[in-house]
Amino acid sequence: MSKKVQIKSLPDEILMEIFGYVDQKWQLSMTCKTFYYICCKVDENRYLVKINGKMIMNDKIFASLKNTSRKFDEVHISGIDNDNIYKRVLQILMKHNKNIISLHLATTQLTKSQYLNLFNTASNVNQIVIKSVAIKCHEDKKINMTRIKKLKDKACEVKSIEITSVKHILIDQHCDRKILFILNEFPSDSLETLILRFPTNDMKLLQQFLCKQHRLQKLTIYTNFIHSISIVHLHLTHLTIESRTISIDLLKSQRSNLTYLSIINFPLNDDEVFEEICSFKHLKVLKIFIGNISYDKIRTISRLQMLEELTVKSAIKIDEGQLTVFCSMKFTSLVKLELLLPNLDIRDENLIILSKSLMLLYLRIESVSISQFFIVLTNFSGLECLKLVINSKFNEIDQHLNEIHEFNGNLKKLSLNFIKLSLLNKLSITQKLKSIFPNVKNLEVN
Amino acid sequence: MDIDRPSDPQVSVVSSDGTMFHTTLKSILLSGTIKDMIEHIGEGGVENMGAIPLQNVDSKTLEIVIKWIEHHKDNIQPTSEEIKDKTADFIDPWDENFLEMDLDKLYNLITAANYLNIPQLLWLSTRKIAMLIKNRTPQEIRSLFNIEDDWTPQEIEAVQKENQWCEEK
Repeated sequence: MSKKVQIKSLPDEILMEIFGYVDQKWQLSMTCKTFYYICCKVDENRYLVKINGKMIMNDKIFASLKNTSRKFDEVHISGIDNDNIYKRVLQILMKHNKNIISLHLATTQLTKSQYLNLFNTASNVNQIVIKSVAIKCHEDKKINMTRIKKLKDKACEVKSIEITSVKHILIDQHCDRKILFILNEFPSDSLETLILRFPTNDMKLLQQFLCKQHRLQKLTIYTNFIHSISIVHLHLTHLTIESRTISIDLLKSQRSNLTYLSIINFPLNDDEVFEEICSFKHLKVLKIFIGNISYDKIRTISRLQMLEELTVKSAIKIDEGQLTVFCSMKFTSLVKLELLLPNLDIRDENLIILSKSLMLLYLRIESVSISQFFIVLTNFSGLECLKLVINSKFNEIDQHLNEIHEFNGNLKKLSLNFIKLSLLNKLSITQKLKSIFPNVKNLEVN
Repeated sequence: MDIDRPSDPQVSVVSSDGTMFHTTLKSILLSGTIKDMIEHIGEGGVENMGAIPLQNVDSKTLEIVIKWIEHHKDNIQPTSEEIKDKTADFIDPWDENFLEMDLDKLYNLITAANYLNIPQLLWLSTRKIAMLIKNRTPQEIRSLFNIEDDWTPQEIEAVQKENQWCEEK
């Protein structure tokens, strides 16, 4: 009999490579001791743990979280809504605080000082993400023993955040507005990124925060009172504004360093602001929603010669002649273009003009016909990623696909959204696309 | 036209058990290890360099490796860095079919791909084993790979205690 080769005879680094492809390693790690140690090794370098209130209140799970030798560097905690859970979370954070660099909080309800305490406990964190959190007030009308306890609690109430390692903060939608108090608890000049994804009306608080954080480089704000804030003292590189109006002074103050600007969620109707944006020489990424801007102003966009990525959205009907002007603009560094123009049927010749003036790697267009899909394929030869919304009907699509045999190009990712097709039709089209694009590794059909 | 010098010259490799195989330079260059060796010889020496000895690959495995590199000699090969970012990607049906072999052969192929430094082949073959492991119980994995259960009940209990939080059901 020939000698049996054993999986265990493979070197550890190869087993680690194999195990790295397995998402849920628990079953695998229970197979034998060797596998257990290798699973631990694979997970050691980076480990994310997601825990919720229910898990924390399970004594066994809680004990294992406290005693495990695994090292977590990213912790997602949700469902902290009472003092018992909170105390246990603190203990877990205390145990792991040296390794945790990213802390995510979701659906929690705590008092202000409890939040501050949580952040202070995770003393090496450099990124905080907050989503759907609420602030609990300590008002309790009942006269009972808890009052005395509360007084005691107050004595050791945390006043501010002392850690200086936090650099990035993301506060997501659905939060209690009061959570913003946290912003002003961070030490001066410690933060580099603030992403605020829900509407803010407390301009005084926001301004206070901005005045205190001189090192801020990336900022996302969502407010309708943009005119009342000033960021003259900042040197932002990234700015995202979600606001119905844009303050020209605010933009002007950031002209020298800004490389990324996004004002994609509300239409821009102000010629003067548009012209100002087009004078930002260093801009590499621009995402813009064009509303009522006069045509001769739209042309000034060609001044942005450093642009690498451009996203243009517009709901209004653009004149085809003007679009020709736009399509023939030359941007020498541009590699990524997104045209989100749902109310416009782009003419074939404009697509061809566009392909001649740009050397793109990434293209997204809403929306085109199926024949234009093939015009794009043959004319944009360097494309690696293509995303299209296709508005043709099934018969046309089917007919076109039957004429094509195989397409070989650089394309790695193809995402097509057929808005007029049923699920069944989409399935049959997906099959055909797979045989037409054997080299596309990432094919999405919606 | 240069007829005397074909653009893809023949090269020979010798397996650990002494069998000689002939293939082309373009194919054999998919192996990072051999590429390094040839680069050290220098461009002019390729035709006169003689058979390359491969001490760590037996003839059965080398035959399989050569089949793969000859099929893929004209494809652009990803670097080991690019492989790291790869997720559950599309697998070439030819490769899928190629990997249909028993586990012993597969282990030898993995070892060879690792020694010869052929990132794409290593990725394909290791991923193949990972797919076999996925969604199986410890007992199933043991019988699949012929592994002995070396845990004592006490050890199992201790490990489970420590890892309660990650026990996926």
